[in-house]
Amino acid sequence: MIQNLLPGKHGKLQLWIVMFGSFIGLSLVMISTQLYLDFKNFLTVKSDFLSAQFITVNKKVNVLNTLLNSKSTFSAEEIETLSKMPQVKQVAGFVSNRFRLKTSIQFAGQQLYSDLFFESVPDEYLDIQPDRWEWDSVEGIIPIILPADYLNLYNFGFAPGQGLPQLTPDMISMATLQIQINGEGKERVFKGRIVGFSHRINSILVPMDFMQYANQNFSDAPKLEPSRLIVASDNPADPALMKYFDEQGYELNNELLKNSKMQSLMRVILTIVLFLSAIIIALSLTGFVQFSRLLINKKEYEIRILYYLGYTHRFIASKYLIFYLRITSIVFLFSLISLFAVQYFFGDWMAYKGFEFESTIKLEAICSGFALFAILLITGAWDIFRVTKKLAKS
Amino acid sequence: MNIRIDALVPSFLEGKIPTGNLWAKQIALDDTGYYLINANSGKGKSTLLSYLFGVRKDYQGTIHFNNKNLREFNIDDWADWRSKKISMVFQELKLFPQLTALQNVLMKNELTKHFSLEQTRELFSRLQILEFLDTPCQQMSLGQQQRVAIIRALHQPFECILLDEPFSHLDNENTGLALNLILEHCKIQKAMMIMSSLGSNHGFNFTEIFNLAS
Repeated sequence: MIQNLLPGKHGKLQLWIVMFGSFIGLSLVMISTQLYLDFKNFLTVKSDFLSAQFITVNKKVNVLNTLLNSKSTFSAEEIETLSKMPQVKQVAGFVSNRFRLKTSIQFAGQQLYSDLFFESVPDEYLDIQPDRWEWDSVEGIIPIILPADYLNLYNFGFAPGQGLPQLTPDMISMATLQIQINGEGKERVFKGRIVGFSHRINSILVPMDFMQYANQNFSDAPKLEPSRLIVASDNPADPALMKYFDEQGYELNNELLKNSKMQSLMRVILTIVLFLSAIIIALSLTGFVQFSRLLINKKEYEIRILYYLGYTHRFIASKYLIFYLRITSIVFLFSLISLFAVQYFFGDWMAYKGFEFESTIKLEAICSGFALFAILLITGAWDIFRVTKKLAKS
Repeated sequence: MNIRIDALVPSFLEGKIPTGNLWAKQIALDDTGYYLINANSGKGKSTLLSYLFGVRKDYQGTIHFNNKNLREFNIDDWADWRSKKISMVFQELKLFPQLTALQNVLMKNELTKHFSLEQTRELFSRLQILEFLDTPCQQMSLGQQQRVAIIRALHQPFECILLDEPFSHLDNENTGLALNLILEHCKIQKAMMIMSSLGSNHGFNFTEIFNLAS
């Protein structure tokens, strides 16, 4: 019988507005949390150093340096000092070839020749771990990692103009390079195979054990100091580290700092979005409270009579609480759906745009929404309880 | 139950000299007495009954139910008493106008589970409004509504029933029927009755009559 009276059907328009507003607020919070976490994973290059990021460092080359013939390489002391910086986890020098090398490739019906250089870094500094990253001394096959930019340059810069086909990493890995190595009066021809593309290191990389083997066997030049260093750091954008680099006249690969800059940009955007969502949610909370008070006020006469009939304020409040739980749950449910939809379509869109974008629904995103839903529910329920109780007392 | 009223002065009489044999006096109402509160309009009949029902609290002095001061009743106590021990017919009836006569009564009976539907129909029949069972109250005459309010008040266990001018819109015949019905249930429940009236005792011999004005 009581459902004929409570909670009543007033303020339909207001209810829709409040529900829509809180839906936007809840969705914004969940989606921004989700996207932030997705981007964080995307921008943080996976590595054995866990959270570490990598930068390459070299000394500035300028006219004065060249004229004075000052060193552009790093001494052991300089490396030692750098590795003791608190922001620095680990440092390694690039090892260069001290032998001459030439490559030729049969490609699109032409034989292409080129002089070449190789560099090596310890394996743990690589951002990719290709399957065939093993120097095969018996077959004489050298695995090679190229900068990812090279492939892009070829595919989007060179190939279209030359009427050449675009290539995928898989296609390239099938091609074999002829690599001729000279030195110490010896010469040997190896086979080269491109096994991967690195986003992190802008160089032509070969395995360290091959480099050591070849430098020993094809060169009598003394071991060179490295001219480039790769640095693993938790926070390469740390101002103290930047200042140190500046003082020492070191130059770094700014491109690789882009990610950490994008991360801070993301953090700023997220903060703004969260701030906006907070306002929206505060407004919808007020809206919900006002709305449930409107419903209660419209039924004040009926509620008073029910109290005179002996109904408890808990019973009266429960009628409103059930209704309130229902509308807020609907809002939460729709916000969840919007989160899943955005996550699904955004992942697809990023894949379509050519990013290796891994996205799974983040528990944190759902939890953030649920926490707000709980706040909405508890505050609203508390107010309903308070207002109905006040009515019972008066 | 027993009711004790001590030096009760309503707010509208504060600073004035109270008249009659109830205001500012010591009064004890017994278990099974039938009491009439007599006065012209505006002398505080409804006010007194609303004090006794916990609706208003603007008085000086004390009222005790079973030796418990009404000022110490909390909202849960009142909900408990109003569903189990004390019932009231309001002068302004306090029905739900959009609900039918039966729905109005069921609103009480769903809480108290006091009568079966058959018994409820019997009460409607006794007061000659059975044909209005499914009529919305707002379409009924005041006299018919008054009887619905009386029937609703009987749908609960009570030790005391408060009746605020319950027959004001009824003719003599219907007044008699309603009064008999109420008395019958007071006897069954061994309850006391406190009724207000504009002066008439409706031909009934009350245990005690209180006048609010001399």
